[in-house]
Amino acid sequence: MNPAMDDSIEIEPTPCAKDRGNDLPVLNEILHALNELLTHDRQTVIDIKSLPFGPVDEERLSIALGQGEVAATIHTLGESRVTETAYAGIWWVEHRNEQGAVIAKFIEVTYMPDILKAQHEDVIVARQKLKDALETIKLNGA
Amino acid sequence: MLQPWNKNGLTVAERLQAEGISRRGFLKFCATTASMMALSPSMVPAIARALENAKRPSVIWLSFQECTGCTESLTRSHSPNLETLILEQVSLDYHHTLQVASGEAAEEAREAAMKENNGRYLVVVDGSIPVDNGGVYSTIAGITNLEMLRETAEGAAAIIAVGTCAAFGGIGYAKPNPTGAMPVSAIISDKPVINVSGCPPIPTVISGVLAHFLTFDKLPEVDDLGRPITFFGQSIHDRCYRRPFYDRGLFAESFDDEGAKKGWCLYRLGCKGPATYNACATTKWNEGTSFPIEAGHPCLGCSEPDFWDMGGFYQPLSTPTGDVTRTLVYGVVAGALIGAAAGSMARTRKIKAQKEHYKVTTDDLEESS
Ligand code: SF4
Repeated sequence: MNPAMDDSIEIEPTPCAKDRGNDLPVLNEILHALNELLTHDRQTVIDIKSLPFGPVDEERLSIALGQGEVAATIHTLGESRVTETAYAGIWWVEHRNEQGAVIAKFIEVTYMPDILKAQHEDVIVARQKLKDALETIKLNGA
Repeated sequence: MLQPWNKNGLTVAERLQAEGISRRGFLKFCATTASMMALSPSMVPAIARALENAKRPSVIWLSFQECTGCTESLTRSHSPNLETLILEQVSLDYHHTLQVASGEAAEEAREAAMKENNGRYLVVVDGSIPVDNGGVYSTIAGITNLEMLRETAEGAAAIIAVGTCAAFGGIGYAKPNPTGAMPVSAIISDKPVINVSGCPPIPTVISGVLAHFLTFDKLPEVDDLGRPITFFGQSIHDRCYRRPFYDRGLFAESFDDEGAKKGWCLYRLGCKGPATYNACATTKWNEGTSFPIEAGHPCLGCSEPDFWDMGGFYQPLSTPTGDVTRTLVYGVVAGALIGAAAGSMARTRKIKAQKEHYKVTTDDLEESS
């Protein structure tokens, strides 16, 4: 029998302090980051790829953080999803490529992730575009 | 192979702009590039500033005594977008496996790239270089690998030795080394050489180093074996998710025992994680899906020098040291430090075993610890 099909095989979640998984130290780091945000207005970004996670650790972290009020999708160079967790100020930022594969995933501890804000350079382009559009409307209306 | 428009020498930012990609898209590109380079996300603004002006360098890729696994690793990568973006941003002017041109036309392309970009081009090497009998054991277009490397390196800005063969000699260099195989660094001493070891190396690590050169116009900082610290700064053991089992002394003793089923530490099954420096435990393979230890197999140590001659893949290098129950009390941070110490101890023993050419067994080490 293929061991992969054998459901009697159970991989134990990695034990850590008090038998928790590797998600526990990350939750502590996030708590510290929230303190930094409140006391020094300093934001923190944690690259999920840099964490030594086992098979179930990311899932456990995700369950522990829960789901909050905001969920946004950005369409540029593939899809990106920004979702607030159940804890205000703690966000998941997930970048996918055009084929839909996750290429980077971060936890951002901030009031609003930078990627959600309109970028200065894009606003300059937008001003010109809107000017041009108005010109066209005026021309068509005349 | 390259996009024709890219021949115009656009910077990364200009290129994305020309494709109608917003500044927000550029920010996403910078954030994912930082992650690929294993740099802290706080580096994103610096990366953005550097990429504003980054021009596309000429790359000459030389494949010597090798199996093409390193090229396969990069080109068969399952997250093509980022690697592709990086590869499109370099001008890959010579790569005899990938290029369309063959024979004399191929060699002319190499010579032209060397002439046009003298002093500025990047050389990527995969494979070891046989030097016995004048290097006759491996030739391309009638030129020995040894001669081609020396000739091409002369006008290079830097050399990236990709894979354990180019970095440390690899399988060609393994005993009895019938061709007199050598790594790049044994032949070229007057140019910066960076070693991206691994058999094969993780694709993101290859493109991460290329991205670093493209972004900052220089090679990243290296460890004592010439490997980029951002990827090779910590041992597999330091970052292994099975580490808490090691710290508690919970080991699989065979591939089908209770411990193996429960995902315990693979140390006693020959895991070389404590003496192996690479990014597998965090960057992982196949779109970040897994890595050998996660799949239930001990680390072979493929990114370390002489891993073929280390006395057997399933022979433990040493036994756990220190009071494993006490390490738990110190928690994760202290655990990482102890892991580093165990790693360096295992490394010393490995070097000793290698010098004296004997096999280290668990029993030997239990006696000496
Ligand atoms: S010995 Fe190997 S399996 Fe065990 S914790 Fe270290 S790297 Fe992981």
